[in-house]
Parts: sequence; structure tokens; C-alpha cells
Amino acid sequence: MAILEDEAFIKLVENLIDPAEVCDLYFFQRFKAFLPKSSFKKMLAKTSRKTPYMGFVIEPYSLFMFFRLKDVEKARALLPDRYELTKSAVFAGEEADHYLGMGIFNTKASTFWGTRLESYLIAKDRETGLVSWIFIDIISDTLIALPSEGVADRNTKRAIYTTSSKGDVFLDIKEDRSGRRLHLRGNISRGVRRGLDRPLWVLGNTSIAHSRELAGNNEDPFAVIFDPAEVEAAMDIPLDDINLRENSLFPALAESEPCKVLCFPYAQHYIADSPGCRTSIKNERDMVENYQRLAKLEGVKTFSTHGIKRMFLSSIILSILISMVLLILLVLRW
Amino acid sequence: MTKEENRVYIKKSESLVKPRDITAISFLGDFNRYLPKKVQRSMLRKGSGKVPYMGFIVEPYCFFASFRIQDRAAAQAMLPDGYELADASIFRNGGKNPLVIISAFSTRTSAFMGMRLECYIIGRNKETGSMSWIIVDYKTNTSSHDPKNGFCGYTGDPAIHTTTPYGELLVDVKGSAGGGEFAARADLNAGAMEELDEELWVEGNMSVDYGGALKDESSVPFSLIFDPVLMEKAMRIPLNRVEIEANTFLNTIIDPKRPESVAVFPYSQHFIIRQDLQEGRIVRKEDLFREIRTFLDREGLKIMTGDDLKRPLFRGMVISFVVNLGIIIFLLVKLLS
Repeated sequence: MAILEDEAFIKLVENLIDPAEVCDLYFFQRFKAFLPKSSFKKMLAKTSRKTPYMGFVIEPYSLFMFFRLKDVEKARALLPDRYELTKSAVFAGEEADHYLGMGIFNTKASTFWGTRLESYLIAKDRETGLVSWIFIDIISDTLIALPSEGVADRNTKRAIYTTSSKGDVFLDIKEDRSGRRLHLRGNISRGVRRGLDRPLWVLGNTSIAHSRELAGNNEDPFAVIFDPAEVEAAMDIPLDDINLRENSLFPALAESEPCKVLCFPYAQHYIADSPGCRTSIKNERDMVENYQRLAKLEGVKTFSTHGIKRMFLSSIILSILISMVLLILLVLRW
Repeated sequence: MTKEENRVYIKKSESLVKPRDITAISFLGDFNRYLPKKVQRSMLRKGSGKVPYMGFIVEPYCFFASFRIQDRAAAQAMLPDGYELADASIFRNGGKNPLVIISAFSTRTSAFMGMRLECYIIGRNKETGSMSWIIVDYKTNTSSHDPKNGFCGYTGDPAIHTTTPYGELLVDVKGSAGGGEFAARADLNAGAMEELDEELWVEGNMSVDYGGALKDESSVPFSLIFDPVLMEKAMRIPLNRVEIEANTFLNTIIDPKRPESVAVFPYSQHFIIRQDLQEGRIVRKEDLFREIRTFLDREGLKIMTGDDLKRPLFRGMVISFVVNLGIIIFLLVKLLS
């Protein structure tokens, strides 16, 4: 089931991203330390109900690396009960294997903007039978949406992923707390376009979940809505062109050198759920129907901090009023 | 510059751009627009002394379309004093004509991130003879600053610059207050790398100024700092693979739907802006190398941080809280005594 017209959807996704709203959310998020975690999650969920869709754009030249698992039992232990570790191919027609995947990209979304390094295991959902991407780690210099936390603050100050005018890529991301680091230099100009494994890249993205540690109490998968053409093919990068200088992310879980590296040369556009909301997709047809429904929507509201701002301003005004009343009382009493 | 120096430069300029600081600067900096322009200028002067460098990264697939100027007198009138129209060409082997250039790009800087559409007239500084890019109009979906409007921004909605999985570049920008519209598509698959005109791209970017509706007496030409290797080549997109669907920018001086050339830079471009740079310090390629080496040699650079703006705000909140608390305690003591 192919999508013939993708411009309306792409523009919808882009329009859902408002830099001013991202800045405002980031600013107000700093105050969540003064609120109980449950109250912040409730406030976020309330905001999300009004704007359940979030635009999510992965910028050009996102890099994906796959490492063979060396401790399969350890990987199994990271998965919630609902998921079973599975072998998968990366490119179409290849032999399947157990992999640790890493996706590195610059991204902009309705609620965050920055660089992310995501690590995943590939598993099968025992309930739906779908191949699923299971997040086991996210390192980012911007806000991180997590089921267990709602929205977590950045966990790295150093996150560089960029290209040079000669097609070189520079990647240097280090988690502040642990010092775990992924550092590489490479060149993507010799990459060759190659078809990707459809069950992994199309259906897998309709069934995304988190590891036991990150999931909290919610094992249910969520979906992102997109044109399957976005993940039909990618540039297969020769391994010789990637010089991995440090990989201290999962030394016990997977081999330290990647066995496959691929790069998407163009932007990818997704509609994701706002924090606290969940979309479920049964199959590719269901996703394409959702895609077409969303592409036709008009006047879709983007994630907005309007409610949070109103609350913030109300508290400032209230504080001023209390101060004034107290001062008046004080003067009268004097 | 050597390849290794270029790598270090790219990483160092990236380190000046941090999402957490950008969001705080954008949020809190917005309040600056309510200050008088004089105060804004004084703040900028003080700030530039403390934070000398700003990173400016243009994301992949930056789009440039050149249009031949048809009304020279009107175009000349839009230039600031001291400039005249210059004949220029995007590509090295192109015919030179007086040009308007419209660019669309996504960007991350030390102070803002978002999309910008910029319109320029290519001028020549009569005194120095240098080619100059004169910004005469722009739209953006993020915060901005220019000498005429001071702190400003959020003038474009929609403001889209993106690519499709089929290798098509999409640009769609409308002025949010009703002024200006530009929409275009370009087939990136049809592009081929071609040498750029050095005078326009290297010399021109050493002298950038404001004109047209943005002309202001306080404007001083500034130079971007970059490795000239950035400006060696770009993808030329054949005109029959570019569709300008709408363009109302500068349509009184150009044929707005008939570009002369279209260029796209497929990879990121890393610039720095030295905020305390004196006018005329960069006039030749060698000056760029000198400035880059100075930047690379400087250790412990102070960068723009949101904390610089947040600290006074938090201080104010804490003082207000302490004063309130003091009054309550005092009141209680009085009432109970």
C-alpha cells in the first residue's frame, strides 16, 4: 500500500513544530523540581490530551549502527515480559541475527530539539507478533520523554553529531553521569543506496517500547505514523569509512565494532504521541490509513505550553497580590 | 586550513551551540524586545565583550536561488549608503549580473534555532571595492535581531525547509503578519556539484550589511568567520527541476518565479561570529585563517548560556519569597504580641 502524495503530511509534521513552544516547554520544565513527579506528569498529560499529536523530524544524515550481541541472555533480561528477543535482518534479503542497534541523529519535535543517541534491542511482541524496537538507553542534550519519568532533563552536555562540506561525519556523545561515550569519525560519501528489511523498519516502528528499567509500569508498545517510503532504503556505509574511536556504551552486551552502518540522507517525518498518550497500530494498512487521515486534518493544534504558562503567570500575580495584601495589613497594624 | 584544523574547528563551533542554553536564551531573551532600542544596543555591546564568539550552523540542504535585477534604480535605492550594485554569479562559470538572492535554511546558533528565509541584494562597498551581501528582508519562525528592529523574530508561519524521502527539497514560508510568501520545490537527485564563484561566496560573506526595509543608521557591516573550503562547491539544480510555486519577495525588482541559478549545499556549514570583531579586520582570505586560528587557540571560551539570564530571575524570585516570608513572620509576631 503505497502513499502517492506525501507533501501534505510532511508539512503537517513541520507545522506541528514551533521553536517558541519548544523553548517555553524547556524553560518551564526546569520548575518541575518544585513539583511532585506525579503532579508534573498529570499536568503534562492534561496538556497532551488537548494536542495528542506531536511532530517529530529526524534531520538529514541520521546514522544507524548495528552491533552483534555477544550476551543474548543479558539482552533478554533487559526486556519486559511482553517481549521476546528476536533475530532480524537490517538490509532486505540478509540473514537475520541478534543485534544491538544505535541511532544517532539531530532532531526537532514539538517538545524538544537537539541531538539523540538511542540504543535498541530488536524483539517480538508476544501479544501482536510484531517485530518491535525496544529502547534500552537514550543519551541526549535535550529533553527526553520517558514512560517512567514523563519528561526527563538532558543527560549529556556533550552531544555533537554533524557533517562537514566533504561528507565527513563527526560524532561525540558522552553521558555526563557515567562517562559512557560513543566517539567516531567517518565519511558517508561512498555510501550506496540499499533496500531495508521491511518488517524491521516499517512494522518495527509501529511497535516501539522501553526496557524494564525505562518502561516503569507501562509495557504497552506505541507507534509512530509515517510514510513507509521514509525507511524503504538507506545508504549502506562501508565499514572501512567509519573510524570508531571509543564505544563504551554496552561493552558486556554487544561487540564493540559495528557490523553494519547505514545513513538516511534525507529528513524523516513522523507523527508521534504527545507525552502520556499512546497510539497503537495493528499492521501496515492500519498505519497507512492513519497517515492518510492525519494528512487530511486541518487546523491541527501543536503541543502548546499555554496552560502551563497561564498557571505560571497566575502564580506570579497571586504572589504579588499576597505581598500587597500583607504590606497593607502590616501598614494598618503599624 | 588543513583537514585536521577544519575538524577541530567544526567540533569547537558545535560546542558553542547547546539546546538547553538556546531555549533559555530564546525564552528569556524575548522580554528584551520590550526594552528601548538604545538599551538593547548597550546590552549587546556589553554582552559581546563578555561572550566573544557565537556559533552559527547552517543545516544540510541550504537553498539559494538567484534572480536577475530588472529595476536597477529601485534596487540601488534599497542599498545602504556607500554601496552600489555589483555584477555577480552563484557559480564560477556563470554570466555576471546584478542579483537578488533568496536563501532558505534551517539553522542552530548559540542563541536561537529554527528556519530562516533571507533576501539579499548583492552590492559592492564603494570605499573598499569588496562584494557584500546586503540583507533586505527576512522571515523566521524563531527569535532574531537586526539593527532596525532590535530583538524581534517569529515573523514566518509556516516556515518550512525540509526534504522528502524522494530527494525533494521543500520550502514554504509565509509572513505571519501577511507580508511575503515564498514556496519552492527542488529535485536534489538532479543536482551535480559545481564550483562556486569565490568573490561572491568568500569575499561577499566577509562583508554583510542591512538594506531595504532593514536599513538603519546604526548598522555596521559584519563578517562571518568560516573555512573557505565550505564555499568551494555546491549542487547546481537544473532550472527545469526547480519549481517556484510562490514568491512575492522583491517582486517589483525581479521576475519572482524565474531564477537564474539554484544552488544547494548538501552538508552542514559551520560559521562563527566574533561579536567583538572590529570593522575592517577581515578583508582577505588570509584574515579568515587568522581569525579561525585565534578561535582555535583560545581556551576556556565563555559561551552564551541560559544561566546568565536565569540567575537574575531566580535571584528575584528568591528575594521576593524571602521578603514575603519576612513580612508574614513579622505580621504574626505583631498579631500575637
